[in-house]
Amino acid sequence: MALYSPFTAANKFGLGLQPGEHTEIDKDPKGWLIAQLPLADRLPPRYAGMGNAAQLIEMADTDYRQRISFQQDNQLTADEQAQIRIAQRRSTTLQREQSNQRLAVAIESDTPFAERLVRFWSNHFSIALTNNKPSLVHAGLPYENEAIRAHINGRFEDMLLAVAQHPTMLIYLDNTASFGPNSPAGRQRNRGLNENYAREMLELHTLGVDGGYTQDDVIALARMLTGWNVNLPAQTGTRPDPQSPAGGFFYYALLHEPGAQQLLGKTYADTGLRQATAAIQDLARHPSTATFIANKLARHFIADQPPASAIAALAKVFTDTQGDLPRVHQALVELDEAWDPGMQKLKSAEDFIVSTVRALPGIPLTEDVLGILNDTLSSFNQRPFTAPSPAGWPEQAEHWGGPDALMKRVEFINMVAGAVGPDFDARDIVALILPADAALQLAIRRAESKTQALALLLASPQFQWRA
Amino acid sequence: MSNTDANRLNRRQFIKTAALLASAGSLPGLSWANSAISGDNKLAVIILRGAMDGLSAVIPYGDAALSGHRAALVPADNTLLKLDNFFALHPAFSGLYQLQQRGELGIVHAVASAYRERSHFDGQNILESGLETAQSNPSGWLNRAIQVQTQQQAMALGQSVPLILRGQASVGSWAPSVLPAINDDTLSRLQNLYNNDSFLGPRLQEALNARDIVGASMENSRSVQGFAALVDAAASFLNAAGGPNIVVMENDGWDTHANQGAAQGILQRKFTELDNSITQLKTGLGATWQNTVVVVMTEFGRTVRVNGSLGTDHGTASVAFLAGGGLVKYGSRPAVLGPWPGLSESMLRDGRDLQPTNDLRSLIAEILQSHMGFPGSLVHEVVFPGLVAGGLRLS
Repeated sequence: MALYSPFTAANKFGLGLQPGEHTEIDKDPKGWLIAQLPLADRLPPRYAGMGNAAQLIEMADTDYRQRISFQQDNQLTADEQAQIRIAQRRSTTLQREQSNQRLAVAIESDTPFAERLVRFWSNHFSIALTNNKPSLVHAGLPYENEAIRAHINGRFEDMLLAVAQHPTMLIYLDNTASFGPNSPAGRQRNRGLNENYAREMLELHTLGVDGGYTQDDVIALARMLTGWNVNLPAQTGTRPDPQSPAGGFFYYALLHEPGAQQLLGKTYADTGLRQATAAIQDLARHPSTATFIANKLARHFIADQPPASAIAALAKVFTDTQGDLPRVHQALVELDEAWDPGMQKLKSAEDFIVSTVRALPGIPLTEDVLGILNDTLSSFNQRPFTAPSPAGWPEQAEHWGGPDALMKRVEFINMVAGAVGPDFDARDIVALILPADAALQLAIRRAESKTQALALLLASPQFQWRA
Repeated sequence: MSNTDANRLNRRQFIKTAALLASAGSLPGLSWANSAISGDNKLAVIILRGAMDGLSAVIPYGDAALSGHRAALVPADNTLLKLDNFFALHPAFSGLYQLQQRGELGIVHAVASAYRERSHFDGQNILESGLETAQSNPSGWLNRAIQVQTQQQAMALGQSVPLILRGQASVGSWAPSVLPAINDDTLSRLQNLYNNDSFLGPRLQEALNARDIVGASMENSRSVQGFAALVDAAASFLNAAGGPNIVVMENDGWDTHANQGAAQGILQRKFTELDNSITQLKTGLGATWQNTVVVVMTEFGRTVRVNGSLGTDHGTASVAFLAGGGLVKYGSRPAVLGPWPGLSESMLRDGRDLQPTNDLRSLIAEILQSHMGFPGSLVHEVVFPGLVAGGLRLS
């Protein structure tokens, strides 16, 4: 029987204790987490009216096409330069707004476990806003809300499908550039498959690299996914389906590879769009997927090397419930291993910054403050939606806790404490945000000033870990 | 993670952050610039955070009990800067010694705030609030002093406005545009915490080693420059027409629990820094020095006896320094003011501390009235409510 510590609930499952939250969580730490699950798909009010992915992709795509067309005639007119500047300024403003709001949502969240689950799945189905995908420049946040958050209380296969039909993922992993070699469009333009998304769906999103698939399976899935596309014009001209919204998901039958395909020993008849849908459902229900997801959840929430028992228990719930996500999430909370204080995770840079500000209530989240916290996050190499690969942000403590990264954390805290030290009393805060630790409390009590005490608290090793 | 230069912390961003975070807190605004012309007389307050060992700063070498308590902390007799046949300045205070020769230094020994416990937090709270007890969000005594004196303008030099200047009156603040240096004391305290962490401990150690190799000289000079830059700025602000006539500077790193040294060492380096700062302030102020008083104060003193790690622990009474050309008008006086309680066993407070013989508030009240021209009623009712007038004992 585990001891349900409120610190574990808020620091390990959540985004860091806020001094005022303590009494509420104390009553029933585990219940506090479970009660958040039904609320996980709420759209935070800060995100209201920020635009959907289709609109934002279409806008960025249009801007990009315009810039290219201007640049083709070598000499930019003053009017063209002005138009480019306006578009760039609008884009910069929107990017900053999105990053700021996303940071504020985490800092303010009153359902921090639910918010972390959203970010876990968003990172599982990682997308990145890279320079060679100019239409995605604003698509990260709406993707997280539309494909991930909106489906977090459904089944895994619902989320997998929503991701697969989301324009952001289709563009990011090049499915929009994949043509059935024998499709009408493929034949006419002599184009072929792009395997990128099919491979990552098998390797990173479902079965895992050792999940038992072959190169033939990658090709079969890639063929089935041909035609899963985005309603945007090709080089020039009009979009494929003028009737449906620009920038949204669009099944482009002219690109679909005809014929039945064999994936993992099972034959899928050519039913057009539904061919890949059927394959995706089976992938979601595959035993390898249950184990792979269980492993990732355990590595994210419990420890870099989680106990096999925890992975097995999560995989069983995943299988038994056919990937019912709220029940899998609850199972995570029910694991004794997750409450073991010996199991700990080093905070990522984002978690570290978020938990720092959560520990210091009263700092108003103005645009300036948020913007600068985001600049700090960039200097820690964790700008939102810029993970280094489709595998998402790494999990291991070795990644987040290198010597230079630690020194940056100390420098950041030294600056924060220098700025707000006189406003906070670390002697009170320490007991409200971290489990009793005699050495830390003594160091804080012995600090020579409030500023130094706050610096010691937030730069302490105890504050770097989730436990 | 890659460590290219482009990924290094952007110092300019950090400064911006610090300023914004500070302005986002419970701080007053920055609108003094349009206010009335400031008064002619200037006041500079330097707060030494961490509790300065007054017995090392101004050494009662004539007290027969001194060496029995702390021989290891007393510099050799022939290095002392003797003020009379009883007291001497620590050898690091050559600048203060020169000021003393010119009548520009005042020393009050065995002085303490109203605080009688031994917490830095509460001690600094009371030092800066000027109240009898520590409170959670008090105003600062210097802010209360200028609330109704609109010709008086104050400015904090540093990353944040310290408690002493917090309150209803608007005050300015200024910090140099470099990332605040991490003080060595804070780093060494952090290292102690990290030593117990088998994963992070060695990594922080590696980072500190790299820092030593790459930036030791740079870091050191930067941290000295850090306070020196504040002092330079203080002189400029006090000299500026229409600028503040009151400035506050904070200096930390005085909590010398271990290896504080005697003629050389940790405490000597702090003394040298303080001594240089005051000399530098005099130079920077030029003619303004003549109507300036600098008050140097700390939250409490340190134990009379050396402790088991060649340092000293939290005590009660310490020393306050006054410096400035503005002191000349007070005429000739003993080098060290205030009754000396003595260091014999029976005279120690709680058997360990220097017994206070003066209330620091009484000293400040005197400066506020006679140098800054604040009415006595304001000083004793608003600035230091409940402080009895005429409490300062000069001998």
